[in-house]
Formats: sequence, C-alpha cells, structure tokens
Amino acid sequence: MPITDRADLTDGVPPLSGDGGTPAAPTRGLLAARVPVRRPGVWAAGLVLAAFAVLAVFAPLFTPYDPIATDTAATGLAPGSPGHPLGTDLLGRDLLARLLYGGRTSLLVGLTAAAITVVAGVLLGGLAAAGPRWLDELIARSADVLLSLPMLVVVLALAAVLGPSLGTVVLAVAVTSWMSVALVARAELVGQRERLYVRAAHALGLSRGQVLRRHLLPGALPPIASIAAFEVGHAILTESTLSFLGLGIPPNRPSWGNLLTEAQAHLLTGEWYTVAFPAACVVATILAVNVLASAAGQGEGRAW
Amino acid sequence: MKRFLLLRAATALAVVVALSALCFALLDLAPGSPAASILEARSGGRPAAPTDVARLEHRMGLDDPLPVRYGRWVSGAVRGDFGASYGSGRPVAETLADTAPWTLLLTGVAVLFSVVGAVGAGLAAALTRRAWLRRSIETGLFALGGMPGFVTALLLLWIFAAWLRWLPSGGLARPGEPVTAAVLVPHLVLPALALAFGHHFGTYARLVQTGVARLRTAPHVENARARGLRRRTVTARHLVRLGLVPFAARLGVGVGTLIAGAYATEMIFSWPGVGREAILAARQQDYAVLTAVVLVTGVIVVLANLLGDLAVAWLDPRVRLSGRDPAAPNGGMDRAHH
Amino acid sequence: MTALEIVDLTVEVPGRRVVDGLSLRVGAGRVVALVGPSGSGKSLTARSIVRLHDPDAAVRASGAIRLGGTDLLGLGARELRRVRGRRVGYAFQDAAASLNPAVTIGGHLTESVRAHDAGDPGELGAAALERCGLDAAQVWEARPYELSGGQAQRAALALATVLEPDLLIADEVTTALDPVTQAEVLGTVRAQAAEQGRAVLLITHDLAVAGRWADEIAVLSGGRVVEQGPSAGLLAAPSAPFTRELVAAARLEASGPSAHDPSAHGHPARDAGPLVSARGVRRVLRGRGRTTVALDGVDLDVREGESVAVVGRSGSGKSTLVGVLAALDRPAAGRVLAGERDVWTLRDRERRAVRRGTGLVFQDALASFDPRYTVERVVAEALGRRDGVGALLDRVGLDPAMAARRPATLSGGERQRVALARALAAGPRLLLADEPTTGLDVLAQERILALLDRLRRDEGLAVVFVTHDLRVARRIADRVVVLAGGRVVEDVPARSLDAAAHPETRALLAATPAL
Repeated sequence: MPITDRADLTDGVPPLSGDGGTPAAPTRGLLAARVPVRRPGVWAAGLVLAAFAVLAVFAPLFTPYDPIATDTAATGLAPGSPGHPLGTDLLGRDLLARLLYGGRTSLLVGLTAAAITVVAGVLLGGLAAAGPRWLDELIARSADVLLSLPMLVVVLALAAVLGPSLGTVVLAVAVTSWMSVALVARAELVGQRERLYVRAAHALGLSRGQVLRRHLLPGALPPIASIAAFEVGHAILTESTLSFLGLGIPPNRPSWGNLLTEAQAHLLTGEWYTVAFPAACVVATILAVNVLASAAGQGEGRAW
Repeated sequence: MKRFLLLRAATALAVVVALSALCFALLDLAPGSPAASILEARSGGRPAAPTDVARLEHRMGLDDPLPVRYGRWVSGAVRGDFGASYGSGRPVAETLADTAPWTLLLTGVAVLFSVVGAVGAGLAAALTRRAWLRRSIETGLFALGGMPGFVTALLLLWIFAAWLRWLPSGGLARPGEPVTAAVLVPHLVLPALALAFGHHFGTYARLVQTGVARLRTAPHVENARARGLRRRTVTARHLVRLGLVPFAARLGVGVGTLIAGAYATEMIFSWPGVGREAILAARQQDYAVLTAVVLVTGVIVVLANLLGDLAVAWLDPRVRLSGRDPAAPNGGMDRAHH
Repeated sequence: MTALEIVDLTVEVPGRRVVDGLSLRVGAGRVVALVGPSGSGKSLTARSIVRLHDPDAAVRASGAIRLGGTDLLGLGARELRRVRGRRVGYAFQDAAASLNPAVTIGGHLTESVRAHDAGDPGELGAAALERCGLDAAQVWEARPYELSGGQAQRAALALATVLEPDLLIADEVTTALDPVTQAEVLGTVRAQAAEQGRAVLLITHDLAVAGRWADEIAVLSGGRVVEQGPSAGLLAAPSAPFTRELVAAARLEASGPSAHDPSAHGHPARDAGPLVSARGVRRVLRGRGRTTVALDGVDLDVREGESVAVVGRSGSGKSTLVGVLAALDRPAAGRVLAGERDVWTLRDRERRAVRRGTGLVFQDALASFDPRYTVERVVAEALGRRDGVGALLDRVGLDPAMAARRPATLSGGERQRVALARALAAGPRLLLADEPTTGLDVLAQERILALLDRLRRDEGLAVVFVTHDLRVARRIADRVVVLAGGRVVEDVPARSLDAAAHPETRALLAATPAL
C-alpha cells in the first residue's frame, strides 16, 4: 500500500519520467480518440496504407498491362523504359502491373486472415474470460501449447497438406495467430473485471450487462484494437514468407511474396530492382500498420 | 522451486504430445498413399499397380487401426526411426543426421548474435543520456520490426554479396569437398546475421530497453544509490539483472522463432540444414521427411522454452513462488509476434 | 552539536519551485520530524540532502546543506557517493519495494559494507540487524518478499544504518504499517538515535506520530519551515497560524455539536430493526496456493442513523467485511440480512436494489473511477441522469464547475468527495466507507470527516467506517468494533473504548499516538 505524498514531487507538475514526454491523448470515445491524430507519423502511416489500398483496388486504372501476360518483344527491360516505368521481367511481364496486382492479393489475404484471426481470437478470449473455469483452462492451455510451437513449422505442415492456395494461406495464418489475440482479449477482460472501478460499478447496483457495456468493453477495446492492427501486419508478413518459399499463393497469381521468389535469382545478376520494389512495398505496409497499431495501443506512434 | 519446475515440465510434455499428434495427423491425413509414392520412386516414376501398392501398404502396416499406427509411429520416433523418404527412399534419420548439425550451428551463432545485439542495443538505448542516440536506436529497431526475415536476408545478400562482394552468397556444401574453417566462416556470417536480425530482433532489444528503463526510478534502485553503491554495482546488480527478466522470459520463445526462421534463411543462402530439407520436402509433399523435421524442430523449441523459463527463475526468484510469468502482465501480448 | 544544517534551501522542478528558502537544523542524537501536508515539499527536501532525484528530472537545488562541516550541495559525484550510506542513511516509505527482490537481505548488507570498504560485512550486517530487532541467522538468507511488512521495514532500517551514519533520513517509513508495527519500528529508530548519537530526520504527514517519537517538530508549508521547536511545546502552543490549523485538524476534534451525542442528530428510535446485519459470516479468500479465512463467524448489526467504526490491524478482515456488507461478496457461510431479507436468497434484480441502497467509498478513490469518465459522468452514472450532478457536488462541498474535469486531475481530498457524491447519488440509508482518509494528509482528512458528520446530522445516514486509526474511529463513531483474525473481538460504544479489555484493543490503544 504505497500511499501519502509521493505527490510531493509530482503534484501539479507534468510527469517527470522521461519516456517521450507525450501526454496521453484525451480518451473520449471508445478508441477513435485514442489515436493521437496530431502525430505526423500516424498521418504518414495512414496515407501510405490508403495509397496502397487505392492502388490495389483500382489497379486496372493505373496500368494497361495484364500482370500475367508475357510479351516476348519486351523481356528484361530496366526501369524507366518507355511504357514500362518499372521495367519488365525475363518473360516480358510488366513489373508495375505485377506489383499492383500483387498488392491486391497480398492486402486481400492480409486483411481477410487478420479479420478471421481477430474475430476468432476475441470470441475465444471472451469465452475464456466469461465462461466456466474449465473452458477458460482449455482455451488458455491450447493457446499456450500452440504458442510454444514455431509458427512457420505449423504453417508449413498445413500448407503441405492443403496445397498452395489463397485459402490455405488465410487458414494457416488464422490457425497460428488467434492465440495471441485470445490471450490479450482474455487478459484485458479479466484485468478490467478486477479493477476497483468495476467493483464500484457493481456496488451501484448495475447489472452485469450494464457493467460489461459501460466499463469492461471500453476498457478492453484499445489493446485489442492494437493487437488486431498488428495481426494485419503479421498476416501480410506470413503471406509473403509462405509465397516466397513457394508454399503460399500459387505462382501464376502475382503477390508480393511471389514476386520476390521470382526476383531472388536476379539479385546477384544486377537486376536489384526486381527485388527492391516488392520488398519495399511489404516493408512499408507492415511498418505503417505497426505505427497505427502502436498508436492505437498506447496513444503514441514512436514506440511499438 | 520444485513446484515451478514440475509445472513447466508438465506443460512442456503436453506440448510434445500435442506436437506428436499433429505430426502424425499430418502424415496420416496427407493426400496420396506413401506406398504408391515409394513404389513410384523405386520404379523411376512409373505409376505402380494397385495390387503392389496394397501389398506394400499391408507390409508397412498402413491398414492397421489408427491407435496402432500412432503407437508404432511414436515408438519408432522415440528410437529415431522416422521411416523412409517418399521421394528418394532414403531413411529419414540419415537425412536428419546429415543436416541437423548445420542447422544447430547456424541457429547457435544466430542466437549469439541476437542476444549480444539485443542486449547491447537495448542497454545502450535505456542507459544513455543522449536523446539522439536513444532515438536513432529506437528508429532502427522499429524499421527492423517491419522487415520480414527473408527481406532482411535479401537485403544483406544484396549489400554484402552482390554489391560489395565481400562474402559468398551461399552454396556452402559441395559434395565431396571438405569444409574447413576458412570456407565455413565466410559462408556462415551472412545467414547468421540475417537470421539474428530478421526475426524479432527489434522486439527483443525493445524488451531489454523498456525492462531496464522502467526500473531506473524503481525504489530499490533509488535505495541502492542512496546507500552509496558504485554506479557500476547499481547498474549491473540492481538495474540490469531484474531489467533483463522480460527479455529472458521471451528468450526461450525467441530461440524457437530463430530455429523456425532458419527454414527460409537456409533456402536463401542454400545452407544444407534441416530447414531447407523441410521446405523442399513440403514442396514435393514428401510427408515422411516433413513430419520428422517438424517433430524434431518442435521438440528442440520446447526444450529451448523450458531453458528460458529456468533462466527467468534464476534472474527473478519471485517467479519460483508464483509460477507466473512476470514478463507477461498482459497475458502474452509480448509473445504475440512470432 | 548540529549534525545537519540546511540553510535557505531552494529546490526547483521544471516549471515550479517546490522548496523555497527552507532552513532546518538537526542536532546529533535528536529526532526532528519534518511535518507538512501533501505537496509541501517534505520528500523533495529529504531527497535533496543526498541528491536522490530521478536522474531524468531536471531538479535544481541551491542554498546550503551542511553535514558536519561539509556542504553536500557542493560535492562532486564521487565524494557524494562516499557520503551516501556511510554518513547519511536513507529509509524509504515502501520498505519491501526498496529492496531488490533478487538479492537476499544479507546480500544487501554485504554490498553496502563493501561499497565503502568499511569492514567485515557479516559482522557489521549481523550487528545492524540485531540493533533493529531482527535475528540475523533467520533473515540473512531471506529475500525481501519473504518478510512481513514490519520485518521488511526493520531490515531496510538495518540496511540504512549498517555503517552507523551520522544522519538517518526516515521518509514516511511507517505510513503503510499498522499502529502496533509502527510503534515498534519508530521505537527502534528513536532508541538508536539516543544510544548512538545519531541525528534523525523523520519525514511524516502525521503530526501525532511526530509528537510521540520526535524531539523536535519542524512544520513545513509552501516549501519553507514555518515553525520549528520542541515537540511538546509546539503542539501545546503552536504559534504560526498554519501550525494551529494543522494541530487542530490532527486533534480530530469535531467542530459543532458532538458526533457522539445521538440526541443531537434526532435519531429514530433504536428499536427500528437493523439496516444491515451479518450473522455468522465466514469468508475464505483463495489466492495462488494459499487460502485465508478472512472472516470467521462475524455477527454485526448496523442500525438506522448509527455510526460504526471497524478497527483492526492489516489483514484482520476489515475490507472483506465491507465487501460482504455491501452485498458484493458472497459469504462461504452465514447470512447477510438487509432489513429482514437474506440478500443471497434474493433474486439478482432485488439484490441490485439492495446495493443501490448502500453507498460505498473506497480507500483508493481514483482507482474506483473509470479512467475514461469525467467527474460528471461518474456521478451521473450513479444518479441515472445528468441534471442533479451539480447539486450533489455542491452537497459534498465541491465546486459544480469541477464536473467537466477528470478525477485524475483532482487532489486526494477532492477525489474522495467525488466518491462520496457518487455514493450518495441514489439516496442510500447506509454508507460503507473503507479507509476513505488513509492516504490523505490531516487537513484533507479533517474536511472529509467533518463532511461525514454533517451528512449524518442532516440526513440521518448510517455509516460504517473502516480505519486502522483509533483516533479517527473515536472522532467519527458512536460504536467501535475491533476485528482480529477475522473475528469481532470488541464491540463497544466509542465513549467506553478506553475501558475496553480485550488484549487486541489494548494493543491498538497503546500503539496509537495521541496529541
């Protein structure tokens, strides 16, 4: 029970501890106001993601080429070639088109997989927090066991059995990442439940439903939103890794990971740009998502 | 302490059992008959007659009931007998024996790089009084956090092998050529670096940093200063040791991540380890090899997790009492991103 | 002989001057208490003596701090290190937290002795532990979290005095301890000061503690000492106005009609049955690996308009009893009756109505508010509407303009008033208050107690008030209930408390300092 006047030092004075010194954003709504909108990093991250989304959705408007059509007349062109701003690969496929359409696949897979992961995770975490004790134990132990297994190994096994396809990747990501969402959701809900203000709410005579709606959920949402955003980045990362290893999206359908597999061989022969562009897209997307995720979680974008 | 150890060991055992079930399911549910694959491989690709397949299946015991097959498979696995590769017909145990040492070497060096680097960067960021240094370390770590492991590997490959041409791009083991230290070391540097810095390095360094920074104004550190201890003693004994607990708690999982990350790294640098073998097997749907590698890797990872738990218990004796993970107050948030 | 002399000390933290021209003397062998309310600069002054500020905070100190002949403010880091621990010992508020959980008590003592190359660590350490009333053989290998609160504070004291420093700074060392343990620890500090000629600077917000254990008292207000003098004289005849106010508050004397006189309140007749009763209540708490019987067969009646103080040491079951009476926690055995009805046989909806009829106030008011809520939302939630919030705030003596603020930006006393406003919103007949003034300084405490008095008088509210402080209990209650080991060992009218016979009550009475 540390009480009394530690306040001597801090009473009425801005916090002295040095970590960044950004005062937490006012927390009015559920989580919208938690993201400190005034930070330039958060704006930049949002813009990057919006740009990628627009480019992917409206890919046909930005390039006249079919990403899988080969053109024997224009193979291995360097970036800046007339009509092919990013050049072409050795089969004469336009790299810009492949990048744009690849973004479609990668973002679609990332968002779908993350959505499934988060929904499943929150449901299971909520069940564990609210349900009977045995269910809690069952979910928590299963999550522990799955967390102890290296993710890639499990994904590899799944991918091998199911064969490379878009659905495989989505399933593999969901199966191997629901645990962290569930654990966070459960811990948040349980932690909120043990807070004194929840006890105070019960003491006011509120019903369980009222307490859940007014105090438990608003308290638990920001961390869950944060981890949900991280899961998007994580899903994109997993997709690209699996596709890169030839176990994810089938090779005939462009995705950022697939492009990197094809390009890897050119790295040593001087066509570095075939690697650089898709790699930059993956990295920029994940970074931007991570910035938003940490902003949602802690009210600041610098740390994560 | 005993209770703590038993609890952790029991969890580890449960994970191994779950893993073995998963591996067996993989083997059992896999499409196609292993007997057919083996016959096909022996006859050089000609499809085998159904009667031959059935005979071989019977001989291999594939038509026994499920529990019998599982029992036989487990008892074989415990003795190191994982059957024969569907592709080459070569005993899987032999393949493992050839490749495992290379993976252990690569991961071992990478773990070393990762721990030294993360502790170094994290401590520097936590203890420095220069804001610019802290900021640049934080920014660098954040950037690393956005890079998939294989992108880090490709980047290193491009810089050091393609552009500067300081180090070889891979291809360590050519058949019949002896591997001397002079050959080994240059080949080892890039994959080990890629593995260490491409897999949650930022998370680890950040754990060190926040763990230590959080304690800088802790009462017991304040007391240590008030007692006139030397700065070095305060830092090493009271700040760093407890500050490393969250990192150490994560280390076991981290080693597992590196072992799994070795799969992609080995592919990129054509390193002759189990990971590369597993990926090739997965592409060819050679379930015998794949299962064995998954099982062995998983068991090693579980052991690493167990060792990590022991390290935490040594660093922070309170853990021994509660059996709880002090570094995961948020229920595993910091274990979220394998 | 003057051991410590502070002359015209000024300490600034960014944006504010907290200590402003403070001067103070502590003679060798004397215990000087530095007393003041929260925010008066006590701890900052103490920290400034050995420059113990947060390394990241830009704290600037000027003036002079002389220890023997040395000006500590002028020392370089290297020389200062030799002073810390060797010539100035420092004991902290939260003793258990001030020790490294990974290092044994012996390890702590050893590193202190080694850091100053002062001799044989085993010998010196054992001697220091013995002086503080601990058995060296027993605690040497123990880690801090394995000790009880009192033991940990003794160990921390031994650590601070292992090198027999000229000056010991005891910074709120007993605030978290119950009165019996507090008396033991401070008795040791005082005895050592006398025997070894050590100067002691005792930082406390509790004037009664200062009066009982210090030779001199220095009263701090607004960053400077407004009065310093021998304890007895200063308390008997305070000269500075601020001291007078502080002493009056600390005496816990009610202003206006006595709270103990039931007739003054216009109570309803005593035979109107109890508002709430506990009958043979037993409650078992299950922690990790250990279970504690927190309440063990408790019988208690609280009647209309009555004020009951529940007193006991830490761990005696006081707070658990509040949870049970509030119909929040279900007893393992026994019954809780609201009116005539057993609350745990009621339907959920009816039980919630019982809860609405009972106001509840916690020690940690801030933690009892949803951090996302403003004061207005906090009160409105209990009220069920927004338009009465201003009137309620006014009733507890708060400016209705505070409604828009967040509780975290309020002072401790103001937060507790918001908590009271929320508890009163539904118009309860019973108020349960769990140590509502424990963290507050005497001035804020007095205001809360006066407010409770007024509420009782004006509205005939029944109050159950949990406290570990018998002085507060006397001040607020008609009846005092003493808990020990989860049982009621005493249940007497407040005015006959001094005649109470149970050893636990006697121990609490003996340990409680009086002004």
